Amino acid sequence: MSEKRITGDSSSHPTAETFDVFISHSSADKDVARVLAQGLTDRGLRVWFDEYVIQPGQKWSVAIKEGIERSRLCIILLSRDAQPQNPWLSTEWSAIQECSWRRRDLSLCSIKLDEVATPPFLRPWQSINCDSRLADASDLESTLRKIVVYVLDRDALRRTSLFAGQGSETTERFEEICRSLPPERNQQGPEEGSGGDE
Amino acid sequence: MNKPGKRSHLGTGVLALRREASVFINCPFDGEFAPHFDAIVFSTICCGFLPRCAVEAGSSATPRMDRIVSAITSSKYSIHDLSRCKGEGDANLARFNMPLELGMAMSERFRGLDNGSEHDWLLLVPAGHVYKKFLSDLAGFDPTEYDGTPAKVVPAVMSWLATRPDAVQTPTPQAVLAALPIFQAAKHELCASWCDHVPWTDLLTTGIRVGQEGGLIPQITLE
Repeated sequence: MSEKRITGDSSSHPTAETFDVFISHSSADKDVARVLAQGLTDRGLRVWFDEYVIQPGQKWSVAIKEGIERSRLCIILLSRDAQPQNPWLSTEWSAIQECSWRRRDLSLCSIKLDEVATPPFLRPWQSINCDSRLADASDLESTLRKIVVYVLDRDALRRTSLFAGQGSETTERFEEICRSLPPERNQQGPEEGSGGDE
Repeated sequence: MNKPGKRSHLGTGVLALRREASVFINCPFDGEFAPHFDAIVFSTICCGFLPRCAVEAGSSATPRMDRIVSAITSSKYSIHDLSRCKGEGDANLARFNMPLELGMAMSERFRGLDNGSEHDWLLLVPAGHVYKKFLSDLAGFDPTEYDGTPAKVVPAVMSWLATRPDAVQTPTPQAVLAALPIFQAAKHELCASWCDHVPWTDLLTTGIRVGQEGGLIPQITLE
């Protein structure tokens, strides 16, 4: 983590090659993301926030993927408005998931701004509840402090094993699928007299 | 896996699974594209979704387009690969069934806008593909580019499925890629047994079995 404090003036943000934190958010949560970005920057972290990094004319999806690739921790703001049906958020979340599978040094953390369920792909990771949507000063301070810890100590975000976090949901899904399908035949193909398919 | 019973859904193009857990696969399934097709189908299964396809009902008195429409409308998700949309053969003709079915999925999206269950789709294109030259309406969308190999299509498909609202927790693409050759070998045996006319549900149950044996899918005991 950089010891140097960066001022609140966004024009002073360097075009860093790497970032400590990437912030993923829906457009409806832009104000909250901005407060978070500024708070983390004030604590000396290098923050990838679209308003800081994306240049006019730059292809958004390329910039997003590069930002994720160059970051140590991806923070995903979860809210009622943050839905993957939104094409831009879909691209972002897919890129984050793909990168986290490929890069073992990438950590994820979600911040819940509303009472929403944590998406399955984020459940193996720590989640921070933020009822005030960072409007409350102590809420903001607590959140920023936790994130700084997570950047410094990846073990604090220790990931669960392959099936440890799957729980009953995955099992129920496959039960549902298996019930919809017939039993697997033997490998000899259609049985004599069975008439094959119905 | 479950008790034997009549498979009354076969031949009708309707698999008995709810829409939110179904994914329509729109990609070439000829011999040359088989490795990609296998990768997409197996990845979809390992992510906890049921793949649907134009060939799922086999030969049927129902017109093919009716079966395709039925499969798309009964799937909340679809995956489309435009790899074959390029000039081929002496006549340099491209295959346009994929864009046609993509268009159907795109229109399906607008049907569910009022109730929050709109159809969602993933578009895969090989890097450098010139689809924008003949499908200019797609210029506003951001397809997922990949290098044309199964090794890249698996993480592309899985990262998309794993982040859908109806997703469950999934294994890693690395684990799925490790098991993919086993699925392909099992499929090869099925093709030999069925003279290349493998029932779709047999392919799916094989994929589930391979996934379970590889520790990618939980073991299921049905009552």
